[in-house]
Amino acid sequence: MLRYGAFLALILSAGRLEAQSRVDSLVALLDSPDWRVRAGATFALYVDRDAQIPARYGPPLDALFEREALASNERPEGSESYGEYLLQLTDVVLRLRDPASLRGMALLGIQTSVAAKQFVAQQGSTSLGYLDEAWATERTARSSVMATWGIMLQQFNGLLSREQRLLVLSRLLSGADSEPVGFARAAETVPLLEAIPLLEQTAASTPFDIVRQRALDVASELRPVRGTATTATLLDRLGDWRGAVCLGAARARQGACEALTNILADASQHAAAGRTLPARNALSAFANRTEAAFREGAFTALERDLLAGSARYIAQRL
Amino acid sequence: MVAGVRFSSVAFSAVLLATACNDVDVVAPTKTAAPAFAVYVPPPGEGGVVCTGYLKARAFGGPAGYIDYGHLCETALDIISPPLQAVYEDGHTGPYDLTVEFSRPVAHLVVMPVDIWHCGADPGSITAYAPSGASVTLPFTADASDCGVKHEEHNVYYFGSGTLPQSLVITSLDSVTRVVIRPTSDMSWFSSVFYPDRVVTSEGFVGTVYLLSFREPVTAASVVIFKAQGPNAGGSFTTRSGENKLSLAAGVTPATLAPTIQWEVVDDPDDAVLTFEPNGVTPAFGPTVDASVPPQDAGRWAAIPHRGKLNQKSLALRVTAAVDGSGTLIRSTPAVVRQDEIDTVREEYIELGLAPPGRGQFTGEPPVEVGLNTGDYGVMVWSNAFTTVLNALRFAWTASWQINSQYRNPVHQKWHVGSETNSAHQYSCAADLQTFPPRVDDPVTHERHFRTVQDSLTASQYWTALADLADRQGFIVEPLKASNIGHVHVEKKAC
Repeated sequence: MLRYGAFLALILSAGRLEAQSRVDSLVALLDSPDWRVRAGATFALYVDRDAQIPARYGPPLDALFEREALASNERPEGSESYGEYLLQLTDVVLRLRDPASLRGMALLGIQTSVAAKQFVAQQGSTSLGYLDEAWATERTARSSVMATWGIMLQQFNGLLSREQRLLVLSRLLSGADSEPVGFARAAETVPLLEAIPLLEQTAASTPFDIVRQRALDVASELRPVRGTATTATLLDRLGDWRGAVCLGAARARQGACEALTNILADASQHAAAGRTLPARNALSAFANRTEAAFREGAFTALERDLLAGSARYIAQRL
Repeated sequence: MVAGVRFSSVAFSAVLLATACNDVDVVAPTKTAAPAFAVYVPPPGEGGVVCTGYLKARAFGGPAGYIDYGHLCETALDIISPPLQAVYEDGHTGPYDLTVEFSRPVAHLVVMPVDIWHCGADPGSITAYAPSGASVTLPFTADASDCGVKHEEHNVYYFGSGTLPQSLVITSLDSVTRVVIRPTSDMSWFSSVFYPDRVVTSEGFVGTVYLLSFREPVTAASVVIFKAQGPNAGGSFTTRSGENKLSLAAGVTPATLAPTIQWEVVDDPDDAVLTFEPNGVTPAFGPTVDASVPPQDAGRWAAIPHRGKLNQKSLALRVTAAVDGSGTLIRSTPAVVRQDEIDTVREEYIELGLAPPGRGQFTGEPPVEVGLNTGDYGVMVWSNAFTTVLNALRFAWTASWQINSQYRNPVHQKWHVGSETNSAHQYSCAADLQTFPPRVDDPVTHERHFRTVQDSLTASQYWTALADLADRQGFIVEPLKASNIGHVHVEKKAC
């Protein structure tokens, strides 16, 4: 370790060395099989604000990053600062903004910073598969995955097809129960006005004060926004959620979805024509059909709460 | 045929030493007293020639012609350069102890035997006395490798039977007023020379001869250090280039000696740190010099316990100025140059290969086990930028709040926490925030665990919510899987 320390000292203290030479030396250390050596070099790059990392180092850095992302469940012995190494490596790799780092960034990087989440979100559809992988394999990353999905819908919506957007909504909805903090973050970021019923439900049912407070806070933020949204906008958004719920629907779920599609189309037409009562009736029918689908086991409680709750809200605003 | 021949082993050296003194310079001891000589030493700066005497052919027991010392005053002593003094001892009735008294203290005394030591004999010794009465006794040594060695030339050979002992340098006394020389124990012996047609055996006598070299003393001088400091505030320093140069200055009386001031910069023996010493001073002599503190051994930190004491960690050097005009070395009262607490911490960064924070980045903060400063010192790096954002996080967080650790010095990070030195805690750019409910200590196993499963789940939600808030506020967050649920590590890059 002293040799390593002395080496770093040489690199850090020798202003005589050209900056690029210093970066070259540090990057070379990242090949070390000893994570502590890699950590030392990474830290030196991390704290050096002026270090320019040439693009040619992208491939080896991306490969290292991905290896660390896949192996990071195996925390080395005596590695109190291993986590700091991972977050610092994320920062260093992020400087290159290399799409080839996307997998590592989705599996690991998004857990460390908003910047990493934005980078992944910015990759649009390319990142969806990696985020799904992260969701499936990195239990502790799920909240960050939801936050990333939220950023994607908010900032980079145009990079997704309609079906991909609905897929993201679907993913968010399915995780709302197990990852209430991540869901609240996404609902706040996008914003997801239709999430208010779910947030209220979370606040009412969660045993955790912190989660309850967060859900209430986000719901409180969203209500004024929802209050200023037009009926047409709300109906369009409800249509999106219906589409998200109904992606790939089959059997009973498919039947419910088809019914809801028709009912919502009616409601939208009536509302657009200023026929308040028929529109309100259609929305009530939408809510009732949703409740029925839940009773039949075709919809989950979350889906019911979101779709029925939103329909009832629009109806009472008419 | 064997022929007895007397010869003197000192004759050859005496001839070399003969100079221009005369009989009146000789001061001989009384017959009954042990041989002794009074040596006149001129006062400082006077210089000149000093002569002395010896016991004239008194005890060699043979014809005078065989003992050719040449002159009563064998040696001229130029006390400026080269300073030489010889005294003789009776080789027949001896060995006597020779006592040499100096009229003034002398310094840099060197005693060189110029007689022959007989193989197997005791080479003798010298005892030197300082004006204070302190004394030191040093034995003469002789190289016995020639003993019994056959030397042959033109079919004539003999066997080595003796050699000159080594000179003695009196280094442990600054000045000397008296020396007592105990000569070699064997002062006569027979030796043979083998010719092709005969063997000549002769008895040799040793009249012990010693050259005394010394310098006149400086008597009325004083040296005072009035500056001994590093370049940092309060005279502190580090081993970092530019911060490692010590400035030393001293005044001396008489002022004419100023150019001769010599400096000693050594590890301060009064602390528990071994400080590597500068490799001399620049310039080598003079009233104003610089000394550069060299890099230190970073391995020293491994043995320092948590917190520890400054006298186990701070580098310190003891500086002494001295003048040595032409005699006694007169030293100043030592001055100690020591790192202050801030530079002691900064030294950790330097020795462990990290960029040290500036001195102005430190602030006083008592160390605690849980809180802002969990390091080893009463100071910590303070970051206004990080404090501002951390306070913002705190005010946005509505649940329980506890900072477990913000600042950790590198040695604490590496050896006490058992981590690597890649942590932003070392720059106060990171904080570990406790999750609630906390784990509790098991009184039996002493392991920490959650009281209930519900507590574990609650802590998990706490972690997620706090990490999420920190993320939204722009912090970098340590991934949970590489950390643990007990705390949320948040940091700001280059805060």
